[in-house]
Amino acid sequence: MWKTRRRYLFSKYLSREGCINVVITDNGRTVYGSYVKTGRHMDDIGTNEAEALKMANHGVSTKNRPDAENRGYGISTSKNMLVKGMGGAFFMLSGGAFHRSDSGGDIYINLPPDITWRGTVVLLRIPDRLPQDFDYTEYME
Amino acid sequence: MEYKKTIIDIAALIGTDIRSRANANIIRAAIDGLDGAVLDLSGVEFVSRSFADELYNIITDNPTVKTEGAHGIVASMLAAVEQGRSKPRHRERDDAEVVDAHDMDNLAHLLMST
Repeated sequence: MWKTRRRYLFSKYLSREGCINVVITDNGRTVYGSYVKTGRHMDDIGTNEAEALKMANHGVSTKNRPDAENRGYGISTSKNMLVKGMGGAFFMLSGGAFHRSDSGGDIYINLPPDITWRGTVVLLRIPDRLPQDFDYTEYME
Repeated sequence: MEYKKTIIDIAALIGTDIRSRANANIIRAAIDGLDGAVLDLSGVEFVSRSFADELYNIITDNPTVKTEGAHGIVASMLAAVEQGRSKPRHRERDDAEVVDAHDMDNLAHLLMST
């Protein structure tokens, strides 16, 4: 594990499951908090933290240039490559919202009131064997 | 009289494998005060999309700065960024549910049911 004052990075190889778990966490303002701070897209999000998570996972960024939709590719393309291309799974917990994406599909959940993380946690479950025809360049946008 | 632009070897300046937006600030510092520059990418083997996007910002904001020598994945990444800027972004339709879990039992049920 590697950590700084505001971030943690942890990984573990699970030989029986045939995968590597990589966990990245911070104690920042959360995904929902980022939209609140910029005031962007709040008409669509309201007070729904899981809706904010869904928007972020679809690449709706708070950091675009005024003249271009140039940001917001990191989560969506990485997740797409991991889940659809590599056969892995993606989990995100931010504030009071949770998201899971795997071969069974996607779900976004507003968690019960007593479950919350003041920041964001991302878990990448990376298979230790990739499909023969996997090509990461197919997931570039 | 035409001035010869300064050529900046990006591989020598930053490295052959360049990730993160922050590395673009090294280029900004290098071109500061120059009357035009050519960013030589011939020695760069890989760039992340975020760096490529920030590099594109530098070129957009500084019309007298150009790139040359991009090849392989570097050229592909720059092309992806340029294409993303010039066309509306296409997003796949997402019918994933956004649901509320009222308590732990409800949460467990939701996680098991999908």
